[in-house]
Formats: sequence, C-alpha cells, structure tokens
Amino acid sequence: MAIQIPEATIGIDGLTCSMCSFAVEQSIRKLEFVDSFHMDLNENVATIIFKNNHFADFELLVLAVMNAGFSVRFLHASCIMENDAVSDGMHIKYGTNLIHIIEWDPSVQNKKVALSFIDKNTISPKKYKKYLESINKECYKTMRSTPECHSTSKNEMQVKVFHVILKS
Amino acid sequence: MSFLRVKDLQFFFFAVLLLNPILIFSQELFISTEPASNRPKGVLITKLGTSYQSTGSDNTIEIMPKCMYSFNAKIMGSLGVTTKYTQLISPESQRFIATSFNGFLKYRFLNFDSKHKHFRMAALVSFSTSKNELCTPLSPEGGICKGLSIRLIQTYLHKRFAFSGDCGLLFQNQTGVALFEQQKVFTYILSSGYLIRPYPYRSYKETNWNFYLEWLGNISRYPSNTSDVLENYRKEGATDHYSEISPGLQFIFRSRSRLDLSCRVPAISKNSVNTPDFMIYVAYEHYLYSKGKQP
Repeated sequence: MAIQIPEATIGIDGLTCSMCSFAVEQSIRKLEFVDSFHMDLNENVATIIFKNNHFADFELLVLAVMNAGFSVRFLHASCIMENDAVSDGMHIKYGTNLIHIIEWDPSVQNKKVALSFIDKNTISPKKYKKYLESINKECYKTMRSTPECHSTSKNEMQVKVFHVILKS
Repeated sequence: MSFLRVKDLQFFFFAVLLLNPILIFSQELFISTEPASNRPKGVLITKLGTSYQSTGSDNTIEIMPKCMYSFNAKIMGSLGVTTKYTQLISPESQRFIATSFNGFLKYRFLNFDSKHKHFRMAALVSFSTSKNELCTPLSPEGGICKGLSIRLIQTYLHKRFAFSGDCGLLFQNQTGVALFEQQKVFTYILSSGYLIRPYPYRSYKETNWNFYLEWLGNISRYPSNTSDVLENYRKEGATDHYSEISPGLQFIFRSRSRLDLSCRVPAISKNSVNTPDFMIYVAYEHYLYSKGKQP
C-alpha cells in the first residue's frame, strides 16, 4: 500500500522567543521537500506543507529541529490511505522508509487519517521511555527493519522504520 | 581553590541566594555573557560592540568586532578583536590600537526541553591576548585580560523569564610563568532577563524588548611572584573581590538582528579606577545554508 503525506504538524519544545522560532523555521524551510511553513509563535506548533509528489523525509525534519537547538514534542502527519488492508503491525512503504503501524483506530475508513509518530526524538524522552517499555520490538529500539517485524530481504535490513499510531 | 577565602565564598553564595528571586526575569541573549544554548547550526553572527569609560582625565573608547559560528546545536565558536582609543597617556597613543584578540569554544552538554521552557548547561573555554597589563577580568565579550578561562554555564528559561549562572577560573597570563601557576581568578556572572514586549507574539517582524540585569564579579589572589606593577596596583586599593552590576535593554528586530544598550556600575570595589562603562552592541545573524542543502 502506498500513501501520500501532504502535511505535518510538529510541536517544538524549548522555544521561548520569536528569534528561536525563526531559527527553527529557517532550518526547516531549507529542506527540499518543504513547500510552506507556518509557526504558531505562542503554542510553538509548526504546520508544514510538503511539495506534491515529494517524499517527506521525517528523519531530516526532526534533525532540522534538533540542529536549530530544540526538541520535538510531537510529530503528526496527515495522509490519505485506503484502509482495507490496515492491521496492527502492518508496514507501509513510504519513499525509502517504512511506516510501522503500532496501533490503529478501526473506525478509520477511506479518509484522511493522522499518523502520530512515537519514535525517539519525535516525542518527549519521557513518553519515549514509556513506549519503549510497552513495545518490545527490536525495530522500535533501532528504527531499522528487522526480520522479526517485517519480512525483509537483506537489502531492506537497513531501511529506516518509523512507528506510528493511526487515528482518524 | 586555595586562593579563595571562605568569607569570599560565603559572600558569593549568600548573594546568589539573595538575588535569585529578584533576578529571575528575561530572554537568554544576555548582554555580558554567553548563554548555555547555542545558535542554530550553520548560523554566523557578526557582532560589533563599543564601550565608553570616563575617569575624568582619561576617556577610553573600545571597539570590539566579533564573529561567532555555530558548528551544530552543541558546539559554537567565536573570534574577536578589541581595539582601544585612550585620550590620556600620550599624543601618539591617541588612536585606535588593537589591544586584544580573543575567542571561545562552547560545548553544550546538557539539554532539557519542554513546552515554553528549557534548562541547559555548557562548558566554555576562552582565550585572550591583551596589551593591558592591568585589567579587571570581567568581560568575556571584550577579552581585556590576557589568559585562558574555563567556565561552566547553566541557563534556565521559562516563558518570559531567563536566568543564567556562569562561574569559572581565569588563568591570567604573566610572562615566564607556567599556565596553571598563573594568577588564578575565580569569575562569576549572574544574568537575568525579562521579555517586556511583545506578549503574546503575533509575528517575527515585531520588535522584541528585553530587560536584563547582570552581576559580574571576580575573586582573585595575586601569586607571590606577581609583578611589581600588579603589587603596587593592589596596594593602592584594588580589592580581591570586585564586582559590577549591569542593567541593560535589548531590542531584537525582525527576529535576526539585535541592539543591546547597557552600562556597568562597580558594586563591590575600593578601586577608584573602575568607573561606569557604557556599552552598545549590534549583532546580525546570517543563515549560511542554501535551499535544498541539509541544515
């Protein structure tokens, strides 16, 4: 199953002034797949629209925030997907990455859904520690594809895997 | 730390406790010190500082251009030069001369972020060459003392308030003496800031007003092999504990340039040489990376 991800919202921790928010914006705007960016300066939540038919590399997105000197509080992406094959533990190919669905809402039907990322550096360290205790999977610790959770060929072993909770 | 007397340390810690509740107000772009945070990776900051000091018969103007670059979110470096113009000594000295080259390397090693607040700690090593034989080692910006300084910085921000504590050791250079046998000076800076306006934010273009109050000090012991000049200077009334209070106002324009206005008033000193300093800094941030290149 292929998906399109047109936009994402990122909550950013550690920001207290507009100069810092501006630095984060500059850092993210330089990414090739970013079309537009809007920052809520008081809530410190950024809305990012991706370019059509471009693969949004979430690893670079998170790195851009960290290189600006701040941390990601949450990372949500909206996407359109057909859900007839969705199940817990399912992997969806997205660009060069895999998206591993850890939980999903069964009421989701052929509509715009939200992917809530739960990997390291996409949520607060406290939340990540909690997930790490409850998700006992090697791929969650390493963020790399493993035979345990995904039938991988040798070439796919180094594929980046993001873990998400799928909500309506 | 044998060069510090117990009563000096008692005074220092008492002062920290006393001023903490008062000082907890600002942003972290402190005027007299560096925060524990770094600027974003790939940002070059050009900064120009000027200071003016008048002791009646002697007027001194210093110009301090400086460049800072953030290698990544954890490491930042700086290089600067201080030029000085003094009216007093002799007609030929009445021109700008380079009195100091200085720089620092800062490493942010601790980072706790949450919504609208953060706590960070960093280690900073700075050096300065100087033609001034006598100096008060208070200015990490100006680098007016010749030597090497090692400092520990902690910065806490919560919404409109910022607080920073900075303490370190300066090994003040004297010719022919090994580095760790130099005159050791314990330096400290307590900085606080408060965002006056705007609140709440509406746009990057709004001018930010920050008020700062900083307290800079040093506690020193002269070694037995100190030069006669320093010894005489000390006898004339220089104290072992010297400090200054520095209020300042900062304007941030379009979220990328700064204008800092501040003055420094001696707070604890018997030394009549030290009169108020007036300082102006302007700084601009250049984002060096280009579109499509990874930040």
